[in-house]
Amino acid sequence: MDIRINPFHELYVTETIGPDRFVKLFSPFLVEQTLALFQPGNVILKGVQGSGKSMLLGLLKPEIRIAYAKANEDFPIKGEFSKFIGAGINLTMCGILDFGQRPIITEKTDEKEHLPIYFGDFFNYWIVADIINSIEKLSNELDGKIARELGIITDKTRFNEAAIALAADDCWFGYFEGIKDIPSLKQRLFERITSYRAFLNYNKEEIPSDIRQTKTSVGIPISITAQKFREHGIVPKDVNFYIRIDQFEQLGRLEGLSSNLGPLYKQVINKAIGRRDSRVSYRIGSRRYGWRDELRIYSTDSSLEESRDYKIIDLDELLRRQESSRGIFPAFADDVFSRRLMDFFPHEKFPIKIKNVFGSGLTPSNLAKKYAGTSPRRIIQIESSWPKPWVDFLNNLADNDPFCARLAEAWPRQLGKEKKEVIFKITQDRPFPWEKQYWKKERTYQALMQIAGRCGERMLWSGVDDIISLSGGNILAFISICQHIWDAWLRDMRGIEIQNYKMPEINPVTQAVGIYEASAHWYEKIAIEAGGNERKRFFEYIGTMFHKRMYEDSAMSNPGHNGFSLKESELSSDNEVRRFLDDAVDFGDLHDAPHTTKTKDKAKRKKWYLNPILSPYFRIPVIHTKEPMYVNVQDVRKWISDANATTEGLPVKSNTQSKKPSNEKQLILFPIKKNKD
Amino acid sequence: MTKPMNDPIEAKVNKWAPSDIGISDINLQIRYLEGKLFSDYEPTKGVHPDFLERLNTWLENVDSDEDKKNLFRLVPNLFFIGRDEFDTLFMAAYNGQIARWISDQIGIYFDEETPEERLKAAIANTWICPITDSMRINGFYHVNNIHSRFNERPDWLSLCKFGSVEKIEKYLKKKNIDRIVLLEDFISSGTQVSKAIKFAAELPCKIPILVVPLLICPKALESFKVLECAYKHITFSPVISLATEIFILDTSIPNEYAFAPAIRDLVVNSYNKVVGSAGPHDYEERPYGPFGFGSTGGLIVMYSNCPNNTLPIVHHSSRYWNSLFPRSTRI
Amino acid sequence: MLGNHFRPWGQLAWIFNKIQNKKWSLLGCLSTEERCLASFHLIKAYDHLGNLFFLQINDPPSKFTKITSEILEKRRRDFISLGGKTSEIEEHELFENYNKLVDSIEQFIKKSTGNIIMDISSFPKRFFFPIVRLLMRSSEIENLIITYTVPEKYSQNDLAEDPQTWLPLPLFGPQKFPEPEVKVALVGVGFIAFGLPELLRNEYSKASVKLFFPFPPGPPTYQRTWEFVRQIEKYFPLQSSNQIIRVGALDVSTTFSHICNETSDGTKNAIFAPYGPKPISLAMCVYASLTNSPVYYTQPKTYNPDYCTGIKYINGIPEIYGYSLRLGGRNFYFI
Repeated sequence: MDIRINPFHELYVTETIGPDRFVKLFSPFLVEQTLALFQPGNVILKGVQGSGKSMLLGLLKPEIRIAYAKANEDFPIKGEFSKFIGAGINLTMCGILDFGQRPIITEKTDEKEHLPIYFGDFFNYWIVADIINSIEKLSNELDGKIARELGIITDKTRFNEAAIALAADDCWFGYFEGIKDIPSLKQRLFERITSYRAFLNYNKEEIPSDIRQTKTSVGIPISITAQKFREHGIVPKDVNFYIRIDQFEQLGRLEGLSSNLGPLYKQVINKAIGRRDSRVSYRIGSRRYGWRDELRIYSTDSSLEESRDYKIIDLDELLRRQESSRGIFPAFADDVFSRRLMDFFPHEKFPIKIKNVFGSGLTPSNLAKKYAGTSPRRIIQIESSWPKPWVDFLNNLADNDPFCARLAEAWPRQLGKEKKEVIFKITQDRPFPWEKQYWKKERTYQALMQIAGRCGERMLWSGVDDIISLSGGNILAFISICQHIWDAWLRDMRGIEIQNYKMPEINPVTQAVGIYEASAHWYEKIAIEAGGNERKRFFEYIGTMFHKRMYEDSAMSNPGHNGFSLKESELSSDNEVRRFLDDAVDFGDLHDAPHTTKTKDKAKRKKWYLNPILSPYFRIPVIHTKEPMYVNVQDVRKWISDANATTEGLPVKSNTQSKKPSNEKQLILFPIKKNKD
Repeated sequence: MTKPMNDPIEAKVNKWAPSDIGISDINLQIRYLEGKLFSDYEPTKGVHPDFLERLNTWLENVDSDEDKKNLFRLVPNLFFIGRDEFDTLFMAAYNGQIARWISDQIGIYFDEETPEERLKAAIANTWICPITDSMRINGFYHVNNIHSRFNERPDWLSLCKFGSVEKIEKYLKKKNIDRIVLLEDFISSGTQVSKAIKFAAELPCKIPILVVPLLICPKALESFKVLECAYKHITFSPVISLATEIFILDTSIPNEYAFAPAIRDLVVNSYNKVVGSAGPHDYEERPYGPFGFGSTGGLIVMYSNCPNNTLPIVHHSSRYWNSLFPRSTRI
Repeated sequence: MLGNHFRPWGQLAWIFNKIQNKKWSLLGCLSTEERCLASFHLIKAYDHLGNLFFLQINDPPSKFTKITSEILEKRRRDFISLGGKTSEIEEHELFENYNKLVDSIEQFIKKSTGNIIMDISSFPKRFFFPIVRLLMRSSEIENLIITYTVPEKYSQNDLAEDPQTWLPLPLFGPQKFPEPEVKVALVGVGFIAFGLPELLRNEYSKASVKLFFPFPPGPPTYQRTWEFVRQIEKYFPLQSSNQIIRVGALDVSTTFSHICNETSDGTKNAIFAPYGPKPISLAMCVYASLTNSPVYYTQPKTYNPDYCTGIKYINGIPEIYGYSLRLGGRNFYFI
């Protein structure tokens, strides 16, 4: 493998990169953590883009299973967990969302009574077609190897018998009357979907009456299909059916859906899930908050309940660093890293660690020396009131240990008589007072940020710890960082012979270049998502504010002010701000977490930080230490407004808050959609 | 502790980046365009430093970081026209300018029975020639799949110097040529090509002539308007007329590039170095002044060569100045 | 026009001189752009105007709503001063159900002279695609010309914001089921690539991807276009240089020929992503209409009212191009 090709060029691992590549690159690390995905029961898999959601859901597709078999590699799902047949639907690509765009009923009836039923019917037929497709694929590829492994038997007679039994079921209301075999069953299935599509694309005048009069109830035909295939021995009883629903959250976002239809369609799918039918299980990939918008079940008074109707696997929570531990992400990242490089360095011992290539990074002391260069005294800001001995002490300290000097400079600026006295009672013994473990640790990154700024230098991000921190528990961010670093390295090695098969140890300076480019890239890409331009303006505002506050905080009293905290009670009283922040979290641009407050009122709080990968761009530390900024919801409202991150500018609410907005202007952050009907 | 970067351009960009947030992205743009376009520059295909090496030595021509950065920022804004771009211009000229002119010439109506048959017959009697030998006329014929019955496709600048009017007219008559199309890849001021065009226009038979520059600068456009008025049987129809705003002129103009003032100063201040002497300069001689031939101030680079009206800082070499896209000149 | 396919196009005034005089029904889009009335102006000057029908497409509320409304008011006054009537303007919402559009266009066709000029200059793609499709398949239309006016310049700021997710354009959803394998993904190159890499990566990375790079024009658009391609390649690296097809931004005919070539005259299934210049998108629209090929787009929610300004002139004449899809009942675009 030519080392001048970037091993991280393929950012995404899906089956579409080719079976060989998928099998080589896919890391099964997360599988163990998400086994519920491969067990019966409905599962909502939550995570932002790049959390590994698509990769995991991809394992449910027959193409992936076939890819592993073709590559002679073990399928990463083992034993009983591997016994499943996957089928699915992509709601934005299949055409189902066009229901509602064209009147179906010519008589004057409320379309909204009928549209959810058509939606459910299309859903059923699509999934059933895909189930049959999956079974056939598994049976036909590789001479039926996988089918045999699963115990699937599709001899012609049996399959046709199953088809007849399925066709005869009442759930179809006679649509499949006269069906004699699988080919004719399939043909009829296809005709129905094609008819729907033709009608919705204005290639047909109306939906044929044999379709209008045989609409099915959501989920039931899917379950019946599973049942009949089991009863007729096509599929053994211990093989499960897992149905993927992709782009589910678009039902709550799309402008093209009129204001009621999106929630109604969600309710229809909720109905399928709410059946808790043991014959099939549903899998939905969702962003963090996109799922909970609508939990009602269509045409009932009930709602879905977590644990009873579905389980949640939250990949972000699983992978992000917790307060008390680093979590599983570092090991996951190492595994992914190693797989990427194995082709390039076949002589290296597996696993290849991130540290082997990127090192540990520089110590704070060395970093400070690097920033300070040949004029270290510029890192110190002297107060005019300080006595000369203290100033001399600081300057001498800066000459030898600029990092320590910066801490020393901050120490007497802090509150406390003891701290201020140090400028008169200069100690020469180490450890110095400002080298107390926790005080120093909490301020290390802020100090380095300030030193870099005072010397006109960019912060130097490098090493495994920085890279893992900047990835923020997101594997896509991690690979993107590696990709950019490798590109920077290749550019820097232009004209220099690179020894193939020798793994590089990349210079920290080069790593920093790549990391900055990755950070800038992630910042720019915010705008390509829905609502992204507004969020980008908001992040520009708060990112700049964080930088300014932290940089100007000479006393380093608030090393944690690269994030902010709100009371939950305030947030729940302001739906617009809550929704804005939830959206930002959903798209991965903000990370949120519960905040254990130090304030006396012990009110429940939540805190937010920028996506860590944006830290280099905004020149702020990535770590979360001490307390974030304590703000109230009006502050955030003002930020949003000042950043011009709303539809028309968000007025700052008066102190007398009302739960319901008292005038129209306060609704304009998320304007109420007009009732188009 | 840390090693400096190996690549001199990377080292420069890394040095500039803390105070110039966009410079990293310009570096990436340049690298990208190098791979897609710049490495295809014909005059440097032989034994020559590659583009990135030339870029570094080009930046080293100037001393201050500010000037280096200005040169660096200029690079992605050069209008590099590659082979593929020229092929596209050939097709655009044939199916656009030429097709429409012939339609006018023969007076077809689009809603008549088979206008395309008449058009095909008309093209068969149209002689398509280059004005100078820099125009790749064979490429034009190949790309457009023209099955011409004319083996001769002389360049008319040579014809006007060496040709015989009588012989040409005889040829036109013998071959049943009803009209002529004269093509040129790039026209800067028009001084050179005007001779050839006038020669063609003054043929006694007054055969209809279409002149199609693939790319034309504003000054040339103006002079051709005058020619059009003087000769009623000549039509000018360029494919791309370059806008004034994309040139670096000796005085500022509305809507010029944001970097134009900085480059203007730089080209004037560095001209001595560019020409390799400190004495007074004759702007009639190469490279014709800080803004190039005709003071055009062009930013154009063709894959085949750099025109002499592009800024000399880009194409001229001397003992004190290394060019970025060295120009291949006729002695 | 030369070569194997005769597809007359050029400046609208020039086209008028090459066809018999007729009265034309003009379908346009009233927008913030000055160029939206250029065709109206010209057709009227030639005394070729039959009846008028203009759509005004309203964006969802945004920070631009106030200024957009003001400019639209002014545009209405311009429309009326040209001789248009308020009754000849019909308002639509950008994300309305598309049956409303279909009904309106069907009514317009019935009331037309049978000779229709549709000006696509200011229509959002979400509208112009289905309209062109409906016009193309109507047998009541004997003559059909699509016009496009070149603006003087485009804004240097973001042209649009807040893209929706990938969806088929109205009337251009996938038709067949099961869907045949897509062999070719044809993409127009513009200024902003909302979500394009996502589509190519997720759904169609097995397809051969070709980008239509608009050239001419030259700079400064040229450099901006290369930037678009560079952004795409960050996520979706191209395998070879022949994946970039250069074609004139105004050249519908050559674009159509390229599409036919890439799809082997319709034998290879294709999908389209019509970013970039509208004439190139028009070629995609025509082909997709003829072959029922899906067309996907990330429709922005909000347009910058300064998206483009002015009208470009050549020798004192506004650059309004006409593309003859059908003349005298003869279709010029076919597979």
